[in-house]
Amino acid sequence: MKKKTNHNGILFFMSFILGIMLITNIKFDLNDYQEVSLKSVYNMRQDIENNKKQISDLKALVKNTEEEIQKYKTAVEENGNVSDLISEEIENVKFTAGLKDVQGSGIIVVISDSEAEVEIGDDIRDFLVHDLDVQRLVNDLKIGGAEAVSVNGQRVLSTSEIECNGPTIRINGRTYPIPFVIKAIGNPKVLNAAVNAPGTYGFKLRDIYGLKLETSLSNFLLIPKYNGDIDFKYAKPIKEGE
Amino acid sequence: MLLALIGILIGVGVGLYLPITYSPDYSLYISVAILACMDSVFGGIRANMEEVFDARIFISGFFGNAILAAFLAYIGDRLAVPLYYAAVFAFGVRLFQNFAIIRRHIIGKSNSAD
Repeated sequence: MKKKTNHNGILFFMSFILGIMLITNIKFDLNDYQEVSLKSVYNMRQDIENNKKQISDLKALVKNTEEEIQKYKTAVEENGNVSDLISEEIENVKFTAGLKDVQGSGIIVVISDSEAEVEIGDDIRDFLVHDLDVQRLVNDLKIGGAEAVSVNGQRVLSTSEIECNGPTIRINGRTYPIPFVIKAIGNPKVLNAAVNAPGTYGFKLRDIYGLKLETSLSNFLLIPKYNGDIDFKYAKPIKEGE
Repeated sequence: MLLALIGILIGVGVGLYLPITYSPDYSLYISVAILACMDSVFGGIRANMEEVFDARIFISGFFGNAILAAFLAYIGDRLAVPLYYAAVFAFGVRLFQNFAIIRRHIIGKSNSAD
């Protein structure tokens, strides 16, 4: 009789294992055994990568902030006040915002109207420099990593307009005639390629439309600061923690 | 017989709450292995009824059949021949045979009890 219960126990135990295996497989199939297209895998991977990048960015931000806090703390301990640090920071912010004269290596782009003869059937507008041309050149330079850009001596800021004004263009509220001189500080080779490489907008302006577009690289460029007032009427800063 | 059924039910209940997962690639192998285990349990029930149950044979059959079936399915995948059909046929046929014999035992028992 004892042997019989032993048998039943083994039978019971094995059935128990079978039940677990069964339900595991069934549960599994219902949840995860779906068709997955390559595109969705790709998208998911992209998502994950983006999130990872964001996380690392945030971590870097946290680290930077902690370092800054540490800097202030040591300043307080050493000097008793943080005015030096704050003025240094203000200088930094001004530099980033374009309120400081800057210098460095870069490129000068001079662009003016075409001097070719206008023949019958030509569109005279194709022979002129337009505001959009300047805007696109500036944008190309920014894509090429330009750190500071000026047009005819006017620093290009986030609020700077480049607007058509008849035969002239207006930037930062001032009007300038041709030629337009665009200065950009950055890696000269990259900036040169951004304007002169075949297929770029600058190349098109010169070689297809026949505008006069000259570039010269320089190891020493001076780009002045913005001289006006920036008056924000609608944009308000968000206080941290709100 | 009843004990095996209860065992399966309890196993299902416990398995619902166990966080066991594996790659979907293995789903087929596990399925074939489950079939082999099912056959073993039915065989065990039958042997129990015929009172020729041997624990060693039962346990070795349970795991051995499952592993062999899964292995066959795996080899079939590698060779691009659906070898797991062999396991499905073999165990399927045996499953029904075992079940038929179990039925006869139960019905025969209740008949003789009448």
